[in-house]
Amino acid sequence: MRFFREIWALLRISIKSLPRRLDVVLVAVAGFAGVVLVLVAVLSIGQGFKRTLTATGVPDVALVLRKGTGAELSSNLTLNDTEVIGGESGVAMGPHGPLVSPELLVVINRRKRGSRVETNVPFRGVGPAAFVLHPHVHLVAGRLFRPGLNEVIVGRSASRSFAGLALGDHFRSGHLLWHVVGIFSDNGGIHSSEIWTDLPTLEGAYQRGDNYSALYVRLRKRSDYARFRAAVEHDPRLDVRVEPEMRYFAKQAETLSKFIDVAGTILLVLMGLGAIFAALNTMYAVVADRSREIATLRILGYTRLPVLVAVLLESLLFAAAGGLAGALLAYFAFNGYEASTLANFSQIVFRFRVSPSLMGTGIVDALILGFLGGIAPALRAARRPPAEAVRTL
Amino acid sequence: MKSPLRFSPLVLSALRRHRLRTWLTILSVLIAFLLFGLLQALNQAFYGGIKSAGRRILVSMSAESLVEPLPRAYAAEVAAMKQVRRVAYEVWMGGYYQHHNQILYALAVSPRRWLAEERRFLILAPRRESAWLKDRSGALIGNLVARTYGWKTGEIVPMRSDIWIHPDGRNTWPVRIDGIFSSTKKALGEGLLVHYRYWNDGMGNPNNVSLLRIEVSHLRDLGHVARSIDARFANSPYPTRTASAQTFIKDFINQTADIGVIIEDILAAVFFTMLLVTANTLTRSVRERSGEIAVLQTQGYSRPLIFSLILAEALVLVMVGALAGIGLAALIVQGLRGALEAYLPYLALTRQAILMALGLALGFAALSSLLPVLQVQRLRTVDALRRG
Amino acid sequence: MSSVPPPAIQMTEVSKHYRRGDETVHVLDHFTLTVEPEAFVALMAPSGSGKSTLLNLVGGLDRPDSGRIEIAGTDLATLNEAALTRWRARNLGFIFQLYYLIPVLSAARNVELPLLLLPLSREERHRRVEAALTLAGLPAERHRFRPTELSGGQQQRVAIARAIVTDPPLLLCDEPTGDLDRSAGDEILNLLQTLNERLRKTIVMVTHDPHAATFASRRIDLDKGLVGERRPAT
Repeated sequence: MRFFREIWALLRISIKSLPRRLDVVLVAVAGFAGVVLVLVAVLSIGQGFKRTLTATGVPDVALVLRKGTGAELSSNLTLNDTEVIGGESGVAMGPHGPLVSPELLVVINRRKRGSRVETNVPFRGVGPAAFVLHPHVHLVAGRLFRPGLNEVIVGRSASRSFAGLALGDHFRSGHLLWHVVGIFSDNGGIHSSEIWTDLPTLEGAYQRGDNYSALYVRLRKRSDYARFRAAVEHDPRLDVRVEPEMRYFAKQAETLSKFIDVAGTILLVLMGLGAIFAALNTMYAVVADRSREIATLRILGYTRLPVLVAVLLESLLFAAAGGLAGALLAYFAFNGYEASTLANFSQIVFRFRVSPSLMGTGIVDALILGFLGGIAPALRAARRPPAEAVRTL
Repeated sequence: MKSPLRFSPLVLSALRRHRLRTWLTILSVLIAFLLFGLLQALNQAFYGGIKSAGRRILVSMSAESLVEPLPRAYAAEVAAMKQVRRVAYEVWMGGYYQHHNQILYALAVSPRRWLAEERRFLILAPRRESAWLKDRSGALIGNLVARTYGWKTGEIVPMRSDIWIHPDGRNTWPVRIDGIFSSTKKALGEGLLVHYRYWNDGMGNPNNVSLLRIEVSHLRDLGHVARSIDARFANSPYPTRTASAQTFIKDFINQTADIGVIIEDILAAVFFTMLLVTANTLTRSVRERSGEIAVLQTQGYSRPLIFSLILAEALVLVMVGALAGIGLAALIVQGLRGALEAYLPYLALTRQAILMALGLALGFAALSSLLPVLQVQRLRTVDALRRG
Repeated sequence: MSSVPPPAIQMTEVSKHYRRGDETVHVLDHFTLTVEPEAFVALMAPSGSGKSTLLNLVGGLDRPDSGRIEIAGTDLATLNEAALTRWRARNLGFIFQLYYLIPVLSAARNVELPLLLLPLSREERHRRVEAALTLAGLPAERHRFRPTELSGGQQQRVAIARAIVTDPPLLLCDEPTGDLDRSAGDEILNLLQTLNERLRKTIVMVTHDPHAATFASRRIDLDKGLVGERRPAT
């Protein structure tokens, strides 16, 4: 009890004296806020990107690509492949036959809104079963494209990020004119960055005959995957490889995520060091400012440990305030911020995601920095003989 | 006799007053400039390649997208245009070795034209050059690739392609290494060059190219030539988009490095925060000494002289930190360069970046001493003495 | 055992030196002093003669190089740092020339500080704070004032209230009137006298002001570690 009353008395003094030393306090808080702002912002990029790619797809869909190719854009399958794969075991059946969607992926040049940069926007031709195989995809405005009429629907992110892709817009790609008749959402998935039309129209526009990129296959059960894969990959009529759809998209996030993790760690270490130096400076200044108060209390019979704890708590208080401010700032400045990057030669639009857990991480990191920056000054304050502090005044 | 250095003991004693604080401040500045240096190096790594592209070079690609081809016949048509000096073409092979993430920067080129253009940047024995010219399935590789995979001349490399599949369904493009060159152009060191004919035959003679590289006779013709090429093919099945090579590289980087720009902004915020902290420290240290400063004033020290002393103090603090930070950044960049050469060939701390850092440091020292100077300005000698 | 109480302060052969640069300053050299219970002693000394050192030693803020210090029979050497701190809280009141009040706390909160170390209810603390401030002569309407809103004399009254609020038997005063004018100083000295006579506090007051010393019942002259003692004419 006495211990806590001592700490409380010390803390009350420091809290009451905050207005008097507002400049020092604000700088300390700003230092922590800056570090947390940056940390949270950088990590939110990685989280948002990862989320976009991991939110893509469903567990019971498999992706079939040409063997030896790493991505849809370079893969090449034919109508014949569709028929063979549709007949393999494990494939779910719909009212019109096997639930498979042959899809052709190309990229087209589109200007990024608000800039002069030409970017590569993915353009996907899909089969009639596409909306069953991509259950997250649904129209949010307009209507569906009609086959053969050069009509497209555009993902919400693509529509926002690239010029000429709003509902009702016409855009020219090559020598063809396309009409945007609908806007769709993919519930945060990667298809929101894409333009969709029907497969034969796109094949015609790009002179692909009956060639397409990849086949999406709905399995009867998730557990049928291994059987389906074995059947397809051992079928002498085929030269393809199979991957679960979700894993395929999750893998695409790896390189960027790794880069952000590494860059974020280096950043965190350097900025953390800077913040610790700044916190040390501030807390030594605080301790110097308060040395007479502390000495007076020590003479009155206050013991060392409460002094140490109180100074440390003060440092942690600044850290928590700065951490919270930085995390909130990051949230309001960056949460939902839409950015795009190039992956596999096509643009992926994603949103920065400042999640509560990320903000928590930021605040905890600030507290660690506050502890590291506060412990040495706190020890000094507690160890200093009160007689010496009084004498030097 | 009148050397301003005679005041240096005064400045140094001010810095020695709180040794710990001085050191902590220097370290904060050091960290800020270390970050700055690393950021600049990264920036250079991203954008440094732009300048390496020749200024008189245009690039022509499919207007639809970068994965669409152009007919090779365009090369001859463009070459016939008046202001065009020469035209080269290439096919991006999309090559990799064993695994998709071991990317080979492989191009299929017309060997004679390519050598004519790049020979001055290459170190390669003429014997090797002619060996390649004669060997239709041969390749020249840069020394960086050779080092990465440990390949030797004469070896056959089982390259695969992510993009090009033979009509029979194979995606293997084995090549014999006819020569290994080193180059003054960093990006070339990562290159792998094969004959265009090797690709064209392998694909069943589609006679397509990924892009045309066009050298104009005079820089002033650049825009005009680009516009007339695009106009010429606008109504064909393969419309073109033509721009300077530098523009193309910049566009490509901007598409990738949207994030890089954001990180840069964020780092600027960090830099600013750290400087704020440092400025506050300086202000404190001057405020603490207001009594002494007043004493100096009573001793006949003019205000400008006192300001100079404060500025000198700030300069010492900031410059020591900034120089150490930039120096450390340079050391780190130097150390990373070897390891990252294959990924970020342009990673470097340029002289320009160093000068910028020094300029920033000077400006910052001036800014951070402004506040305390204003304080001294307001300080009346008598008050200060009373307070002290 | 004798029923005679031990001396309030018994210093025997106490020495203390400091290093100042290369020089060793012997502040106290085999110094011996006895202060009886309930005495009011003025220690007269020119500045720099070690009177603050003496108070620090008696108050347990500093340890002697050699010799023995007993306060009311307790040998300070037997207490470790933590025990000494606790002992100080119960047995000593300090009064300083510059008051050393916490500027951001009200007079009452300042006085309450030592009470927080004791197991007392909030009401009990409040009662004692009011009693101490009243005894020290701070007008009731000023109990909630902050130190900066009080005159020097009133601030010293708050400091005295803080020193006596835990009811310690011994008060140590370091130039308590050094920063006050004559009339305010005299009021403080009268207050100390009252505390000595009515509450039977033992008071050791260090001062260089002969006028202040006349309020004490005994005067000790301290000069460079040599002690001359002179009883004031009563």
